[in-house]
Amino acid sequence: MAVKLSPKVKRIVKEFGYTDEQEFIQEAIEKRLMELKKLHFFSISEKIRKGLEKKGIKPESVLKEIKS
Amino acid sequence: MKIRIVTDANIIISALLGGKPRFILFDTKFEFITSDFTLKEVKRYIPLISRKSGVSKKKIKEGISFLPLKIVSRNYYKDYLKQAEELIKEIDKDDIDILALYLKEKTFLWSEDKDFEKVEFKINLLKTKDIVL
Repeated sequence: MAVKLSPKVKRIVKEFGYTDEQEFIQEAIEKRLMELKKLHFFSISEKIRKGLEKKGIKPESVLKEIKS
Repeated sequence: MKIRIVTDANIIISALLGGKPRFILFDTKFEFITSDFTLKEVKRYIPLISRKSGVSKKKIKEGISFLPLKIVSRNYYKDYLKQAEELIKEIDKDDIDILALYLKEKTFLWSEDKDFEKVEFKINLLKTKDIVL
């Protein structure tokens, strides 16, 4: 599906030195995907952190156990 | 241009446990690269992390898949395995792959593992506290 940019966005794309609209769209999608991945990862790692905290386990002690 | 950083298992695990590395790993100034061997090492500890935190193994595995890491196979750094083995085999054989990848990349090695400080070779070793966002 082709993405159509509004004239306002087109102007900004040109002003910021993108070679074409496709380059801008690609970059915007990649950035958004990274944001979503970050959101999901942080939600999971937060659950792990809180789970450890609940049991009185420090992350440092887990890392130490793993190394030994 | 992004700064490429070779990332060790303890960093990935620390991020999973909710430590500071998770903020750094999602900073787009950097590009993180690790070995397939290192990732397998991380996955080996999923049952332990799950047991201790109460979070399911499936969820932890899912979390790892969201990390912006470039994962390379042994074939990518095969030419440096012998040198890495000579440098670290007496200290910890499990560190051979990540050291070989570092030797191939000639950039930075991000690890909290003190074993790398014992290697008789100058390594651009980064600790989490050294990375400023």
